[in-house]
Amino acid sequence: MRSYIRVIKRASLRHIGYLAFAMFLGVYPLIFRDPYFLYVMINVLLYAFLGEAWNVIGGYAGQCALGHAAFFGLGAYISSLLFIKLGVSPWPGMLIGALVSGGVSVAIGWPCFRLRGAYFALATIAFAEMVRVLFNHWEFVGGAVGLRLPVLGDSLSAFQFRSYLPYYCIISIFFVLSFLLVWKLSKSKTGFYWKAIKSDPDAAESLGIDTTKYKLISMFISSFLVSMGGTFYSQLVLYVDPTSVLVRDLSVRVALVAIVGGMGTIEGPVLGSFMMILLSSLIRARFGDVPGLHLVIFAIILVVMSIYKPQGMMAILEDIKSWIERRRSLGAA
Amino acid sequence: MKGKLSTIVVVTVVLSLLVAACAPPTPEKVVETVVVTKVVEKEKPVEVVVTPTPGPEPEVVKIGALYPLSGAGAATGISCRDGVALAVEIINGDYDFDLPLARGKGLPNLGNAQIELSFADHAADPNIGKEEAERLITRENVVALIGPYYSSVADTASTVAERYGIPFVCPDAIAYSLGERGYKWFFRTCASNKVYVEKAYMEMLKDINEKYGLGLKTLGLLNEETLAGKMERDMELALAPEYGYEVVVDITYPEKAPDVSAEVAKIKAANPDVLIQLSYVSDAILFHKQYREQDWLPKVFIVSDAGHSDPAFLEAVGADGNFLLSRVAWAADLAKVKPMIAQVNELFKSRFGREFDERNARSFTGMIVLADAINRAGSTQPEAIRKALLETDIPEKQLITPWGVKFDPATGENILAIDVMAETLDGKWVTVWPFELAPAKIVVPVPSWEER
Amino acid sequence: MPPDTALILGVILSGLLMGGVYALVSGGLSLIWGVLKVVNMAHGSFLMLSMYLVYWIWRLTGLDPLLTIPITVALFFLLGICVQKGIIRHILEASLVNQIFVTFGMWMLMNNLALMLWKADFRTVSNPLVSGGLGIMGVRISFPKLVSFGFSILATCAIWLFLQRTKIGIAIRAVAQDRKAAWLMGIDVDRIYEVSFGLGLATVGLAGSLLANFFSVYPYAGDIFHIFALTIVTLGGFGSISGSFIAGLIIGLAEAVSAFINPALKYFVVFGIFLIILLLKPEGLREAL
Repeated sequence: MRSYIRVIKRASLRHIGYLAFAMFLGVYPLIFRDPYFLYVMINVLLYAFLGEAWNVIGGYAGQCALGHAAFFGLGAYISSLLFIKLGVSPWPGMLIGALVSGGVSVAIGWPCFRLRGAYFALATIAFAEMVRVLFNHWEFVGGAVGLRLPVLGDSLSAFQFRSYLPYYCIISIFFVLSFLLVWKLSKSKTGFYWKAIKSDPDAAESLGIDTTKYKLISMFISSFLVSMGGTFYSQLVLYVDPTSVLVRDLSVRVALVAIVGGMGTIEGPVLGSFMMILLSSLIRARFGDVPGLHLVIFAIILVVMSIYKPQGMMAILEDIKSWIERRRSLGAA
Repeated sequence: MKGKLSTIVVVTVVLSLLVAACAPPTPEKVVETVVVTKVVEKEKPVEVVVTPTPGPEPEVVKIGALYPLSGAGAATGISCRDGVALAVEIINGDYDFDLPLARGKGLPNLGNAQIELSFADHAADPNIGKEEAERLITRENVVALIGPYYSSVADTASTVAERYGIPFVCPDAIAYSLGERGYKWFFRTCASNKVYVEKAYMEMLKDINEKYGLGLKTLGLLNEETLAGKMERDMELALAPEYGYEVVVDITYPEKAPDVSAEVAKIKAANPDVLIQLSYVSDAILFHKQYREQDWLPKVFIVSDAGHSDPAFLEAVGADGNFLLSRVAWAADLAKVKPMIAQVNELFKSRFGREFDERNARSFTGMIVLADAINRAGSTQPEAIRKALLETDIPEKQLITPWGVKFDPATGENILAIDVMAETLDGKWVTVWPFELAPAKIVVPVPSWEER
Repeated sequence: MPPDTALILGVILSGLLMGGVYALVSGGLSLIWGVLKVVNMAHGSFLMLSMYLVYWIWRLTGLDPLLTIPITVALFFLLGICVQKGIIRHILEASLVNQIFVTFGMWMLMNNLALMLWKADFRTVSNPLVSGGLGIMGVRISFPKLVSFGFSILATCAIWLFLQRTKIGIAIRAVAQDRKAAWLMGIDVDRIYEVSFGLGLATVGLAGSLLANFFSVYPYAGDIFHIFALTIVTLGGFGSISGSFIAGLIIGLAEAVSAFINPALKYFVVFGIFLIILLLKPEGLREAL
């Protein structure tokens, strides 16, 4: 027991941060009991989860993919279709959707990975747009009207709940699992290869690393997770249409959450999500009645941040951390 | 040490989530639960939470208004918002109009309580719409919701309202599916697209054929690829054979397109007698310019209000926009019979710098209907308001729309909402159908470009 | 000429003409990308600004959009220099992702500022000098598109000649090829950046004057052109003016023809063609400057 206490005393700021966040997750619904606040936090955690997923390909493997809405949408549509048409529970539906998304992402990634930088980004944008146009026109998936999931009240098997609390718990678990997954990966051999590929793909290739294979792995994992997020979303909102799950805006938002937070860091997406999603919700609540004002405010913050602290929130936190540690060591000395 | 640390963190997370999961539900709102049996069997009953409002009559009645104030539908959203805002101003103030609640300040049965509007921007996103509905109901404590123009948002937002037992008055979303959910708290004052495609378009075409013998046989459908466009197209495709028309060209195009010349060429090649078009403003203008450039027009040109009713359309195309037929909930020329229409329009112009049109007239009316119901209820209790809404029976004479309001208790739809058809003549929308009621004569077939 | 053939020819012609317009918008983006190595996600918003400028000039003075060309070109050239000095300068060395980050913020800011200031209403210039269509042997040609295409070709040729023949132009190409070497050769790289960005925005200014003839102006008017511009520049090979012109024609043609066959899927086809060409030729159609 005493060893545990010693461990906590000597824990670094980072680990204290993790503990604090873990406790925050549990305490939040006790303090903020209003459904509205729960709903906002659910969205924040959802985007943190999506941001972690994007980070796998964008931050770690270094490929700027801007078409992830396609996988989000695929996950949402597949699980919803299976439920509506065949009565398959969204839980296995989520898995199926994720596998399909993973498969599609690998299929599209394989030819596209020979494209570099901006070309790759644009190829992903084009791909996502193609998926959106297709779904918008396809009668089977409801076309522009989309799909409406029947309201069934509390039903675990149908992945639906009247209260937001179960959703909150589920997305928290998703997020924590993705966090742990990314953590494990970043420390593994795969993560190491990703770092190599990101910093200099040619050098990595010449060292014998199969860059394509590892890029594909990152793509699969990334799209798998994002697709799960899509299913979660469809069970939360109970309405799926191309404009809400397949738009370019969503792809950019997912990427921005990771970028604003700090690319290639595990904690980045959390900070990014709080900054972007939470902040934008609050600003919209306060200023939403003047058209466009809340977005102007948000955009100004974004521009200023992107010029002066392009490494994102993590960089700001690192600054604070070094400041604290300097004070600590000065105090100790 | 790392291992121990990880264990501590993981254990904390698990404990936290268990704590969170066992958190007691929100205390204030839940008092009584009433389980409601539905008309629709597929869906299980949605538990309704009834919340009595304690205390004496309030001085302020808060109503939440959801509209797209940014993003895609901003232009219409802001316009509808203005309509609702004007209605509230008239109700709160003392105006000598022949409109319910115009005379006398505020709501007389609630001690002249004033209505306070809380606006929220849903940016055409059903997820944000849901979030804002939650906020308006649980944080702003509104007694009713009005809006949201977008049918997709109407679905999610009104589901939230249904859960809380808060009346949701929808004056401007047209998807017919909204009325088929068996909701108790959803009320729609305008006509759904199912109603107007059949009762307005098809019936009018029938009358035109009978009276003018134009021999209209072929139909061309032009819709933007959005929810509204698709639903309307589905309706038209379903009804066309019933009324004896052959659909010779059926185009759905991606909205906000930079170029539509190929689409128009396709229509021109098929040359339908009647064209029914649903487009938002920018596309409407673009298409119309193309019709001119490619020198083509149908014999009868029906436009669904979305973009063509926006004053910006006529401003942009001028006289080229004449001879278009559209269903209208707003007809300025009816002011001859209802002078109140002109008075309200003048007020709107002085406040917002533009006149009433199709969309904001509906939103305005929805607000009047809602306020009238709250007044008759004499209380801000949701159940009382709901009962009053069910008892609504406002004759057309008292509203700026050409229809009155009476709700069907099973669906929440306004059974009196049958639009009239107007035509653009000399740059103005003039009511031309039903023929017996219309002050002006319809001009068909559409004169060609040279003839103008 | 039988009516159907005339119709199809009209569609093809229209697609090509429209492609020229797209190419004009893309040319500026290509130049910026090629010389400054910056992906400008706010390009479409600048186009929107130019269109608003033309609209307001017309509203307040009655000056026809075509006549505003000298004004918009000059103003936007200066604007380009300011933006470069103020913002772009900071992200020249940044990674792709960061550039997207910054310019995306600018896109959001400009669009919503326009929404706040001028509201969401659709504004249109009525009765411009160029409007309507002509019929040649039964084939309909849009007059505004023809004029825009003409200007687009002129502008593209002018820029091309500028880059090939003038001293500054050659300096620009040198910087695009190798920034360090150019600097070592004594070229004032900062000045070149300013001129290039200015030139990039000047083309957008010109495009605004032309598009105001047949487009409605609203806060999000630039967005669809922007996504096309990105596709065209990538297809043409960034930095290549001739490449983006050819790519513009291809995309315009693809849009028109696929719209004629099935309008609902036209973007599917356009992006599909884009992907296929890109995968076959990853560096784009032409080499950089």
